[in-house]
Amino acid sequence: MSLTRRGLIGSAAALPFMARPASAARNVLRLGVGNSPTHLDPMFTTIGDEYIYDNLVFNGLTRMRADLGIVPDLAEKWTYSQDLKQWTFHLRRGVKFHNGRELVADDVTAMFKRLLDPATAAPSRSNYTMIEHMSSPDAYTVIFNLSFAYGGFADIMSDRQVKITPRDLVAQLATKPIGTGPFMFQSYTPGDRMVLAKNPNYFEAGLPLLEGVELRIIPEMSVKIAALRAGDIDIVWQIPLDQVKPLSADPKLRVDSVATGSWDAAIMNNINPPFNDVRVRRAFNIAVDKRDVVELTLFGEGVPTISPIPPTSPFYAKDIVIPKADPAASRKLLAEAGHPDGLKIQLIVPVGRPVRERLGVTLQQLAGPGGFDISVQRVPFSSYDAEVSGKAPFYIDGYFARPTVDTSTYEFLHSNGSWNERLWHYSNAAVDKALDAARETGDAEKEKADYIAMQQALNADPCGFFAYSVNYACAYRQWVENVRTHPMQWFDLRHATIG
Amino acid sequence: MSGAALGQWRGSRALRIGGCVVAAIIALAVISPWFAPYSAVAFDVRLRFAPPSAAHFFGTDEFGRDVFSRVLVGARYSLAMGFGAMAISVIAGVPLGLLAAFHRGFAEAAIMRAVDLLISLPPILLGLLILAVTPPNLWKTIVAVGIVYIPILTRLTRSVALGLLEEDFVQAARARGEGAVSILAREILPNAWPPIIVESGLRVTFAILLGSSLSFLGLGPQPPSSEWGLMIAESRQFIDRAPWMGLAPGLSLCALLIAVNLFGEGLRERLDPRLSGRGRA
Repeated sequence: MSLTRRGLIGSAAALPFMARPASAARNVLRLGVGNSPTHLDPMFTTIGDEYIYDNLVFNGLTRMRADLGIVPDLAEKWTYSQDLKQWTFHLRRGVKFHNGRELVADDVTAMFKRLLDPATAAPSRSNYTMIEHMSSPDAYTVIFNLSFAYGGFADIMSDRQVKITPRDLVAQLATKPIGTGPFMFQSYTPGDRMVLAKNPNYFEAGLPLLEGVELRIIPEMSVKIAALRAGDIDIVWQIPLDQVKPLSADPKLRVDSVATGSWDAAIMNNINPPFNDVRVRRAFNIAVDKRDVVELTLFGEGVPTISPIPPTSPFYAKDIVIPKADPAASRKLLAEAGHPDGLKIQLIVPVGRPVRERLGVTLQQLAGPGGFDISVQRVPFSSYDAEVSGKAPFYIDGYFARPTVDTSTYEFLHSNGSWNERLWHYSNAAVDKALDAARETGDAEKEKADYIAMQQALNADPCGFFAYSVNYACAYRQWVENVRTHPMQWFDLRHATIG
Repeated sequence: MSGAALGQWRGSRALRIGGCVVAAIIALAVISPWFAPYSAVAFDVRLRFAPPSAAHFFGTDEFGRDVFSRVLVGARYSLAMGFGAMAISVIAGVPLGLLAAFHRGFAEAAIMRAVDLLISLPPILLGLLILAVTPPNLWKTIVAVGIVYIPILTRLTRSVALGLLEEDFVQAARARGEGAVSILAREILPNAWPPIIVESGLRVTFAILLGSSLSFLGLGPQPPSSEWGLMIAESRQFIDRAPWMGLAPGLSLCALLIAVNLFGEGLRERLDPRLSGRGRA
């Protein structure tokens, strides 16, 4: 409170006609988001708005940079055994939680124990089940023993839900969260705002540069954009893709649209008719040109893809040609599969996910000539878990980018994958083999060859219709400096300043 | 000009204007499949978010679809919801009301308490409740809205019938030994019609509005259909760059509601015995 008032007086006295409204506290960044976080314990966070908070208040063992490189965070260095089954992380010394207590190895192991306990029911548990045993020979060393070789273990330590929290204050994480991050939790009013203040004892000396951050919760996008244009907020997180071009024309704003690994797809159920027949799945993939889908659904802000691996990834199979729409060939395949008069089918789209709704309408229209007579059915996204996921024959869904190629593909495409059974029930021996091989090799070239083989097998026997890797765009006031639009859709605001 | 004659004249003017507009909208809805300048569902990538022009009177939407054609084609949904729902509430509500009036006692208590229960729920909640349990479509929306307005017609019919049951001609019919069905159908119903018609005429407005509201919430016709409530819902995300996408169906809805209301008001002035002097019976 005093912080706000001091900032207000300061800015008003110094520069009464400054471009930024005098009502805004100096050096407090106001970030417009859409939803109220429902969890403050990072282990239970599941939505993008919460992930922003995770990365401001907490630290993981490693950090993912905006160029997707993995760099030290709480761990200043790490080593791994030849067989990739033992990983040793050396913690930075003198890192203090926001309450002043020093972070030690026991906090790390306690957090992972809690995560791996099935009774905790943490949503991201399945990503870490390879951890078989943990030990901490001293206060600054954590050793993970894995049940199988896993080359991307340091990468997944940067993920959203594995932030290190104080082991003795787990009970208060849900209401008064305490972390080690550059900003400290101050207050949260659901539906209004979350207020974070600078952590003066942050372990990187001199950072952060801001006095604080406010997450302003404004559900209606047009209101957020109006607020940005008026200077009432400084950043709009995740602007709609149709706004990228019009907002770029505003000289007061900077719009950044970056490629991500987040994808949307038309999910097909591979064990029930009609999509248990690979010819029907292939027919759909040649009935629709993914380039048209990108233009119509994303206003061009995305790229067609064949699997969750985005075309920007070095592991993307560049040799696979995305087919042009061929309605005649699609009809022929459908006829071979026993649908000579085309296929009448219902496509479920999630209400409240405008891009995915638009994808449904786009496919409804574009797949018509290829013999797919689609009726769109809108279903609230909240009932997806209970009624749609893994059950409906044909629906639209999508996932955020994950930190490694393995986490982005294995659980979705392997016949034993945890997400696979909640999506398409896909099973292809060649895909399984390639995914297993890629996971266990330590050799980057071999890994790449495995993932390319996986994409080729998947392309020949598609599990559904991967539409695109979607871009992610944010709009900034020009006075916001040193913030990069992070493809993982969170923010690193340590160096951010307001000019 | 006497007061009564003035009322008659104004009543018929409201009736005429409202009737003409409603008839015009119905006619447009019927001929729209042939008359609409463009397909209501076909995309045109080059023309996305085009503002209103001579080629596209109401502009185009995020897929380059012609909003004017979509509004024309969408009129049928609103009309079907308004009039269809009202037909359902009349068909179900009027017999229930007659029954309650004639069989005082258990039947009346059961019907009227059920009606009280339904009325105590806000219409939009009741509609949501009916639609939430099953996948939505146009017919379910019509039935849901119809059910929402059954109680009002039941109450009205009952109160009218209760008054009529005391009338001499009904007593005479009873004295002649006529059965319940005969009395209700031949004596009560013909005399109860005017207030029922007036009430349903006015309620059509609410039914259209409720139908569009449910559809706005996603519980109505499904995309890519161009129901007006759905169009308004879809236009929301583009309101600052393409306001015509929401304005066109919104103003059309407004025009339809005013016209139906005028028509209903005209009917009331024409048929209400208190306004046009003691009429029948």
